[in-house]
Amino acid sequence: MSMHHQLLADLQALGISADMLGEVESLPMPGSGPHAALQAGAAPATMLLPAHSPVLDALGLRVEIDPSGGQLRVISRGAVAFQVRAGLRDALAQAADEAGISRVMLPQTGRFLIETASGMPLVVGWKETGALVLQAIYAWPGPPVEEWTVNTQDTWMHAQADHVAGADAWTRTSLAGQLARLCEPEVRDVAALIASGRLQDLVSAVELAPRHWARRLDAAATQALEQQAVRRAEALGDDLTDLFDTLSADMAEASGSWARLCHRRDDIESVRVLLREAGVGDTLDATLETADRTGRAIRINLDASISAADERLRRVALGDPSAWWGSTDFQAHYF
Amino acid sequence: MVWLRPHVADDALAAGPWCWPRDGERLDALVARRGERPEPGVGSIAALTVQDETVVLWHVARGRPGGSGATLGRSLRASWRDAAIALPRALPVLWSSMQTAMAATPTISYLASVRSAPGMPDLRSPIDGPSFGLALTLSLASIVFDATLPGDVVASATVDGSGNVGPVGGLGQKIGGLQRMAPRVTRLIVAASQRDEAELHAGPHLRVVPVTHAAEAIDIVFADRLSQVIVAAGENPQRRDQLTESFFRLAVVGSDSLVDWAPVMRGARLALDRWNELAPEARYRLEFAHAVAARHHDNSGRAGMPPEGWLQSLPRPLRVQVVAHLVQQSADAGHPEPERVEALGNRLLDHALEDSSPADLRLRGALARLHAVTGRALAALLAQEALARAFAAIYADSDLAYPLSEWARLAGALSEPTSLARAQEFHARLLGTGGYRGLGPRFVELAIARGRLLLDPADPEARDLARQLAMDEALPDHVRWCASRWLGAEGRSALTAEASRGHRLASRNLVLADLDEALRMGDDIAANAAVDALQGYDPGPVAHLRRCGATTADIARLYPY
Repeated sequence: MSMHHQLLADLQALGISADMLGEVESLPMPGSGPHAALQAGAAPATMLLPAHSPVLDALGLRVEIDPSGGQLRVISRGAVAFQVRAGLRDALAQAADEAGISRVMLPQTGRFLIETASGMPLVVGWKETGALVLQAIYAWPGPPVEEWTVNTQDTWMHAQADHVAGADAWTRTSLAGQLARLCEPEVRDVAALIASGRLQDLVSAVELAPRHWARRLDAAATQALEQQAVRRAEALGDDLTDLFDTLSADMAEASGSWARLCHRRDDIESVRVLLREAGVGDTLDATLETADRTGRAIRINLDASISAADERLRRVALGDPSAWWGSTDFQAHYF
Repeated sequence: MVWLRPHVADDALAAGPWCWPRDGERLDALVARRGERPEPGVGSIAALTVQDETVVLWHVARGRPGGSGATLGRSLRASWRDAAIALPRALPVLWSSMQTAMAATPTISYLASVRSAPGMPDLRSPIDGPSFGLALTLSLASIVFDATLPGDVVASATVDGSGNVGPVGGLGQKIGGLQRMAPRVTRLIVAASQRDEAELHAGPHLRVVPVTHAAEAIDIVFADRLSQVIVAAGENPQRRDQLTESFFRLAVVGSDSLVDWAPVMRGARLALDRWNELAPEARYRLEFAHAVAARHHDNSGRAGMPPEGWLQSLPRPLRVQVVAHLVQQSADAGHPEPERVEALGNRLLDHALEDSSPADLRLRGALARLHAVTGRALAALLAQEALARAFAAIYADSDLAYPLSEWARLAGALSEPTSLARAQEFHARLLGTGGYRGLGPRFVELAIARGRLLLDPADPEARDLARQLAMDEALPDHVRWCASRWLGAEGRSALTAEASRGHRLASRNLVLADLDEALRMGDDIAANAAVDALQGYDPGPVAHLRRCGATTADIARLYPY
């Protein structure tokens, strides 16, 4: 059995199927060549090297690793609770300490699994020759958004669905939520529908399908989805707090940064709508409250020349004028 | 550029304030957990490197024998040595032995990193490159002063052995990374030549501080701390005597190596103001140091005549140098009275020109400079020609440019084309000797250009030479702006632009350009107004020239700068 198949088998044994895995993120490790050991280094030999990883950034996590040895340190921003399994099979989970740090020694396979405190898998990682590899885990089924958008007349939404072909479950779920929230209504005779008593037809099948899908999710899937969303909301809140420290002086770049934050918030909003359909989401709401307070404050103080006004954010602003992440072209009311 | 979240090492928060949050709940939480934010220790400063997609913030700290930290590459070690050479040229006085400060190379350790692409920074390779130069100089200055650096400053620039600050690569990327990793850093010191580039990338919380010389950076960074150190030193009589001696020594012999006199000027002023019960001779030494620094800085020196008997107590070579400074101050700043210092100087020059030491020749040069603005310009012209030949005869190459410049300038001002031709020929001959190099020959070129343009304002070769000098950004500002003045209308826009940015020397040359234009148009009122304005910039030479009956046209020709 190849190493990759062995990994998949081990994950399967933990209830994680291949379709729950996100994109592979490979982080080249410096100093892993044979001459590196001979080279006097900038860092003490015991120093762990930081991994810069979008997969971990999105979840508010940080990993430091010793490229030549087996030490791994996982840290959560804001000391949020989590646990790490060094190795996959029969490995005991080691909970993070009060500061949100977990130190483990990796087995020879170099594999590890990061989970929420309740055991929901978040990220699997392993060492390959010269690289640390990470894959996010989405422990719920990805919604079939392409099927739902086949008949929609909303061309923008159609294009969005085309883009998510092969994407991970988080991206697909977010798009499902967008279908439920942001689809442009189809042209229809509203008066005739009301007169004929066909009130259910006022909402199109495209908008309803994601909601039906969410209601059918089992408890484990909704829990996994909510925990993923909560992690992302916490990380977003942190990034919003950092925004004024990190915003570029280049207005085009600053607008890009702001737009990315707005899209991240809208991803979470889309998932929130589906979680509500599934009858959960209180934890997410509580987490978003803090992030949104920061978001509103920033939006009010944002330099006028920073612009985030794409089609998605335009629809957000039209649908909910109080959403701070809506298009900057609209003078929305945030309170 | 899309940045990933920065990684901040746990040790970074204990090493200094740089990576702490600026304010808000996150700062409160951190203070509750870790106590008050630490300030940098003596010799501590943060510095940046960039490699591919990674920007790393490092902690430069005072080295200790056997200390750990990064391995320093060859180029970085060279920067460290340059910093040690540059520092004595930039500091008002050396507060402690450089040898002690240099005993151990600095310890450089990792604070934080940020990347624009997924990956892991290579923190185990030796750190290299010249861009730590200014940070190393400031770290060394902090050790020598025994004063901490402020925690809101980062420097990213090279420094050469003369203290000149130069540009670094990847500055935009470094600034982008810095703002993400170190929210408490609010001032970034860069080379003046990279000011625009830096301001393009700096956000609202980061102020770009452009400098051209390490002394400027030290001045900016240690402003208040320097005062405190000087005041504290005054409490100890032995230390006070040492420092007084250091200031005086710098004033007498330091002009060749010192590039920026502002810190010396301020340091001596502080000592004069804050140290009580100074003996008259010690006070005069400090006043003299202050005056020399002020004259070099902005022609504002005001040293009086020395106390009775003090001058005679000095060894003759030193006495000659002190008097040369006083004579030059009299010419430049109008004080002390020319007659009194001239008498002092003449008493010391009791031997023939060919028997003179370089110090004696410099005193003769200072006297000739005074003669040039006190109604004896022709005598000054002859003296400067003789002095140039005397310096050349003893191969004192580094002293040649000054009398030769004066020779060429005065030859033009006094309409002596044959003398000017001799100066040009002399200059051309010296260029082939090998020892006559650096900025000196460029100063002479400026004098030749202005001399020729005084003889013939349309002289195409001279105009071309002036144009080249005006546009050469490697030259000191005062040379470029003076060349712009002599280009007339052609140079006016450059002068106007620089003057509007607050450059005093550019403004002075703009006034001179106004004077030239008024004379060309025959507008006496405007010419007199320009001379009045010029006297505001340089009371010394203008007052001298007016006192000896010079007309506005004479002042335009004989004005020495």
